[in-house]
Amino acid sequence: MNLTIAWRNLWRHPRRTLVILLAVIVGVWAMVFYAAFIRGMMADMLRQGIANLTGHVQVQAPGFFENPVIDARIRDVATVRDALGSLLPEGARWTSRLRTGAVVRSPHGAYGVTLVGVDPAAEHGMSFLADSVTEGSGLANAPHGLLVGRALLVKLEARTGHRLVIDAQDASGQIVSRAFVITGVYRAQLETTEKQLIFCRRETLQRMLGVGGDVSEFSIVLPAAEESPAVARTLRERLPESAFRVLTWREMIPFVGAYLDSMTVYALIWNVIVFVAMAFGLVNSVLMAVFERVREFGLVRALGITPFGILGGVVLETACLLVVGAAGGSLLAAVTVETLGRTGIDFSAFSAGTEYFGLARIVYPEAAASDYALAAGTVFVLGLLVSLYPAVKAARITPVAAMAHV
Amino acid sequence: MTELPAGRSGAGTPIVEVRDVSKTYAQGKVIVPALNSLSVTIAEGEFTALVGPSGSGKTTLLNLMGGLDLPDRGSILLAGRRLETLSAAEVTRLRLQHVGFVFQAYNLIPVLSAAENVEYVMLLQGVSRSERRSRARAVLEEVGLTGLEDRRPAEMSGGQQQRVAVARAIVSGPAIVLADEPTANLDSHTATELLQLMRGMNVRHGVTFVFATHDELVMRHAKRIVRLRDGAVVEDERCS
Ligand SMILES: Nc1ncnc2c1ncn2[C@@H]1O[C@H](COP(=O)(O)OP(=O)(O)O)[C@@H](O)[C@H]1O
Ligand SMILES: [Mg+2]
Repeated sequence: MNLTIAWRNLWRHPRRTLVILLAVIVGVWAMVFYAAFIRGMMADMLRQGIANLTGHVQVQAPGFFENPVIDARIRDVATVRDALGSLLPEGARWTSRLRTGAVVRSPHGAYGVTLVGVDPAAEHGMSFLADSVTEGSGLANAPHGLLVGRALLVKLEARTGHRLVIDAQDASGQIVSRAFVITGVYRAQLETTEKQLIFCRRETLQRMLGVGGDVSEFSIVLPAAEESPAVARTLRERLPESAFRVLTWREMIPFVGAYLDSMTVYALIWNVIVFVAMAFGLVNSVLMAVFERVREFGLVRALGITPFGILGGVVLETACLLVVGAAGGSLLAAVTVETLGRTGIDFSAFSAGTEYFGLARIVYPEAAASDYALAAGTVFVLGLLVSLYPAVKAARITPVAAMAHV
Repeated sequence: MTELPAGRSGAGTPIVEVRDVSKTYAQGKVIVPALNSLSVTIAEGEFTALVGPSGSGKTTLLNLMGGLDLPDRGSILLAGRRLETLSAAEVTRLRLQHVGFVFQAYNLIPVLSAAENVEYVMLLQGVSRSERRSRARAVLEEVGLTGLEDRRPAEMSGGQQQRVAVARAIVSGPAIVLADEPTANLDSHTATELLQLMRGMNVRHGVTFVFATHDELVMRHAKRIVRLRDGAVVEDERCS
């Protein structure tokens, strides 16, 4: 019956209740949607980071991570191969690459780049490379083929089929130059990637630099990012520290990990900000409801309800409002997130700006159950807390004071 | 000005004993005297009218009897307990268990139907749901409101609303029902009906009533008339 009373009281002023209900709905929606947006952005950032030739775990030579020069390379490739072959969990994939700093020249300019020698077939499902070739045939059947980013191609004023000359330092410290043919153009999420990375076949680069079968890195992609620490631990046990360095994605792209970790805190801060905006309306509407019912509170106090009973009634009324609002807001958020999660939110119009921060062009929001729980929880707990103020005011009304009230 | 000793007023067990009670209100800087060393005793089964001009202290006296307010001086005994010795929570509980109230207006909770208004007090008293239902139905039938159980206050006439209030006041068999000008907003015909209803409860169930009025027509129904002036009892007469 208390619930019935609370519910009916809530709807004595339908318009006022609807307005504040709408505020709660929008508030909860904003909370969940923000969390989902950030989560989508983070997930994309992680995906991109992993696909950006990082992988979940890498094996490198000591010192390469800090100073990626050709001298810091893995010379004992067989040991790593054996370790990967026997220790990786099912579903894991790996490939090896050779990297070096280089200068690419065309008749229109020369640019500093990173030349990466890859095994084109093995990159499938490992990095963005396999799915990103937009023109040309790629590296598959071209020993001296070169895969160039769209943005760099524009700067070089070149096209597929054109020749480019690449200068790099070989194993003995000599500058070597080789002519390559552009056999493919790739697009990356980030323009900086397109300008920075140039790809050729691994064997070609190994020969050019005179490093035999040596590589710079083994990159491993696992079925789930969470497995990275465990896999890294197993590999570290097998591969001696003197010759190998095992890194997880958290060590290689630490800002992504830091973003992921602080996401909950950001969401909570945002939730509180949204709530504060909402709280004024809420307290105001509950106060109004209390002040226009002074006589009623006096009456039921005379009948024998305790001040605590009055307080409970007002809080219960607010609770009804908050539950409906939280449910409505969550539902609205679920619909929005579900829809935009499928279509994505296109930021390409602002891509120049977002790229600068390393963010994606298209964000696919995804909400976790905890996002709904956090939003609904924030609104419910803080909402009840602020409703205590009008509730205490109501509880203090005495029958005699209420009778004098007009 | 005759002041009658408290003990003389009735033969039955005293339900309310007001002894030497004074009450003033502070209105800004002005002190307004409301009751002045007033004593009166209400015995079980009485049907008493508090009569006096506006401002004579009727409402103040009823509030003190029902434990809605505290006197400045003097002592009040309600259902065997000295109110001035009790905590606020104990007074509230005492009121819930032993006192029924009927006010001049705003008697009912607007969002509840007639039956629910009657049930509400029983809910506070901890009466079970099924018993609440059947008792509410029965008492509404007794006050002649069968068929109107599901009406909200706004859908009932003033007389019907006051009947609901009376039904609510008596439903749990209180020691006393205090009614402050219950007929003030009713026409004389409806007022008479309400008084007859209350008197019927008094006769059939022995419910003790004290009601305040300044209406000659209403006070004719009383079995005892306590006249107040300037916060003191000036006359206390029994009628037959
Ligand atoms: N809340 C109050 N504040 C100030 N004065 C009051 C208050 N209630 C009653 N009084 C004063 O106390 C006196 C008695 O009032 P009341 O008990 O209401 O009389 P009655 O019910 O017979 O009209 C009056 O002078 C009235 O003005
Ligand atoms: Mg009065």
